[in-house]
Amino acid sequence: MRHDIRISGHAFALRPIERADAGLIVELRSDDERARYLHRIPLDVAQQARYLERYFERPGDYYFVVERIAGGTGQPEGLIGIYDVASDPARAEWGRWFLRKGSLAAVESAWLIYRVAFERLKLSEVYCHTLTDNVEVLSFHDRVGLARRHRLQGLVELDGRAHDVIEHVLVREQWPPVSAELEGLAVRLARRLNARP
Amino acid sequence: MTEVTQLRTILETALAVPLSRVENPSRDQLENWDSLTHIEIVFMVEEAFDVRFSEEEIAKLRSLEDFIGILQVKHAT
Repeated sequence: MRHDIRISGHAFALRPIERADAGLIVELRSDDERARYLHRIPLDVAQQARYLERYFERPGDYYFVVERIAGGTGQPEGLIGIYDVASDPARAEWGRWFLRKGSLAAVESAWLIYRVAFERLKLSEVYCHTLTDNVEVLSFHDRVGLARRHRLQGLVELDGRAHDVIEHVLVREQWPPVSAELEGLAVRLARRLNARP
Repeated sequence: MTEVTQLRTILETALAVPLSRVENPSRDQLENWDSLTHIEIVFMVEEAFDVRFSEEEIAKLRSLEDFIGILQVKHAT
């Protein structure tokens, strides 16, 4: 949906996605290696622009571009979103997480999307679904301290095959220590990215 | 303690798994060497060896051998 949530961290920021970002989506998702755990999308700018037009009309869907603010470049680093926002209980899924190869925005973009969830949208919990084959991202969520709530069998179909996913959940009560850990690492990394060469 | 032993100890600490039977621990082999743990490993190696890696180097470091190689280069310059 069209929204105006902008949030800045120490080296990266999230801004609302715009129609003009259709090319960015295609550019990022053209990396087959990194896109192998996500739904296939048409790698066509016009089709992505039409997708964004439909997204702008969809309530409870917040799609962002991850931008680098360190060094004042504003370079897009990736995409991330919160969607399927429900009100009772106040919860949503986060995902569409896709960063440029070699990007160091993973820790901070995760911290920022949780801040959007808990500080801006006032959610009581946020969850994410990760394919069981995507072991690195599963490890990331485990390492951050999220709980594995469910294994959902055959939830996602990719290339004509059903895949199981793990649902990780972060509830509001567990957010402060998770925030402290993610921000601590983000601050250290930002010192590096903000330093003059 | 040799450089390699020290690096192995850092990796074992960060990844919380014994690596004595793994010849060249790498991100491709080890499921819990995720992007968060990678940053922690990088900072631990920098502190232990008093070096500083560039952004490009951080992205390219993917195994014990990579760390050994880059430390040799940095200590030679």
